[in-house]
Amino acid sequence: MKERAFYYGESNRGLGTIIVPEVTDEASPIVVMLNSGLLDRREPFRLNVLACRRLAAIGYIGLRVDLSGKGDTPVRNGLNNRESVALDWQFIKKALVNQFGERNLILMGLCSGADNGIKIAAQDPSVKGLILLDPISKRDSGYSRRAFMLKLKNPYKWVGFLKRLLKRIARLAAEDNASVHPISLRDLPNDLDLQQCFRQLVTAKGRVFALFTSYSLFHYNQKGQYTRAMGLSGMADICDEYFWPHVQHLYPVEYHREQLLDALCDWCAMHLNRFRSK
Amino acid sequence: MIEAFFFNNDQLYGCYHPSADMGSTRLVVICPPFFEEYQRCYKALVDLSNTCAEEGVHVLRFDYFGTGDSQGLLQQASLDTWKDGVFTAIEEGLDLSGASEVMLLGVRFGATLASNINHRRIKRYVFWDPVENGVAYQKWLEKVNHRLKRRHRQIARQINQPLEKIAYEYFRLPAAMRSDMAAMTLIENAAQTFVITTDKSIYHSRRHANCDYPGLTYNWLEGGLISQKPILEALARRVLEP
Repeated sequence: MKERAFYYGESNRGLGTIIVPEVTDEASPIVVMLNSGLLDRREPFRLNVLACRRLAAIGYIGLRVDLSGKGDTPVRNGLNNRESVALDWQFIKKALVNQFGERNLILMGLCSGADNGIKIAAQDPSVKGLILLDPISKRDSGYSRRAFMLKLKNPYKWVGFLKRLLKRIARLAAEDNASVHPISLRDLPNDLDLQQCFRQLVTAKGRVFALFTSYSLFHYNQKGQYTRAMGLSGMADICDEYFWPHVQHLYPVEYHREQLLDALCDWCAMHLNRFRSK
Repeated sequence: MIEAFFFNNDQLYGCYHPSADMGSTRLVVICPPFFEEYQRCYKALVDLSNTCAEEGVHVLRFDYFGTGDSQGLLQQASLDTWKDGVFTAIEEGLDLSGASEVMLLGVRFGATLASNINHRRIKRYVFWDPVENGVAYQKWLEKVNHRLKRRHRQIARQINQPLEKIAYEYFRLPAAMRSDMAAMTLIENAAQTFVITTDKSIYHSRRHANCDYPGLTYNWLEGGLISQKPILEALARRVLEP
């Protein structure tokens, strides 16, 4: 396998690292790994590096890339996140086509990387697969009931509730109403993006790997909810959902990272022929 | 523009920031920190490198074997391979830049490692929050892992499930690396070394002219990305001074 630097954009301002398998042909698909939040292209905890190398061993070309303003790629001034990501993608795609020709693409992203992946896929039909780690999920009709039952049956929640209640009473006057939930900092895909993205993938018989961890509990709490809540005919056939509520968002535990890499590689190996076909 | 490449038989990954002054004789080689600390200050090191290159100093950043974009797994690495890596990076940077003198800029345990490197071209060392010794660093890593387990216990309680019986470690370190780490200490030569610390107590206890406190305290144990301007300015000032 050969790994090298990958440049894209005006004056090659954008930087990534690409790995090409020993044996490759014109049909080998490319997995593009997008940044998670503000982290650089290798992270979290080197996950993208190891994922790229493991996927290359089974026949995928792997690219981990810094979008503008992340890692080694300078920020683009004067553009909002959506515009900047769209422009970056145009350049990344151009550089990939120049080097490898037209191929099927799979986008992988965690958190805001997943958000960006959905937005890109909504606009680009050459994206045939999505690997989404903690994407935002719509709540289905049963979400609130399940969340309530989980709390009701959880003794720790009762203890926690009483502790919080006492604290709240104690500091009622000084309560900080300005706290910001991290999700509000994300530039989430809108309904149109979601519909367009998944409708396109259903039509193209693409595949989606969607994994939810503890971070998603406030909007996702049952395997199958993602597909169900989208309410899109045919989506259940293309989407493989995983629910790991015991795992932390950025996979800081090495054991969990290994589990994720295994699940990812099994999924990619299973769908390699699909992604190879035009 | 950054020149990214693999070197040392494609084992190590480096990013070279050529100086705006092509005739510059000065090269800075950055020895990054390890584990979670690296991902938190990566962007800061990129920005610092760009600033230094624009101001007339060549900069080479690189990843140790088994870390970042370099080849290998952490389990295959050792302190000796990391020290060899620093040495090779210096040679590579000198070849690329044509510089004649080297400054090693080490961060956290990267500083401890850098302080143990002898190369005839090294003229100065700048350390950012250096770890005094390997024992202290291991204690720090244990704290980090302990925090990790505590967080997972909270999650298990939240979902009303038992805590998984697994090793709650960011990275599994080989036994040999642990013992080598424990034996390593920060070596300081007062004439050659400058320290930037965000720990006020270290600043006051040192009382040296060669230590600077940029006016803010940073907790490496918790928090997000590090990009505080005063720290970067303090580092750039020391790197760029003649």
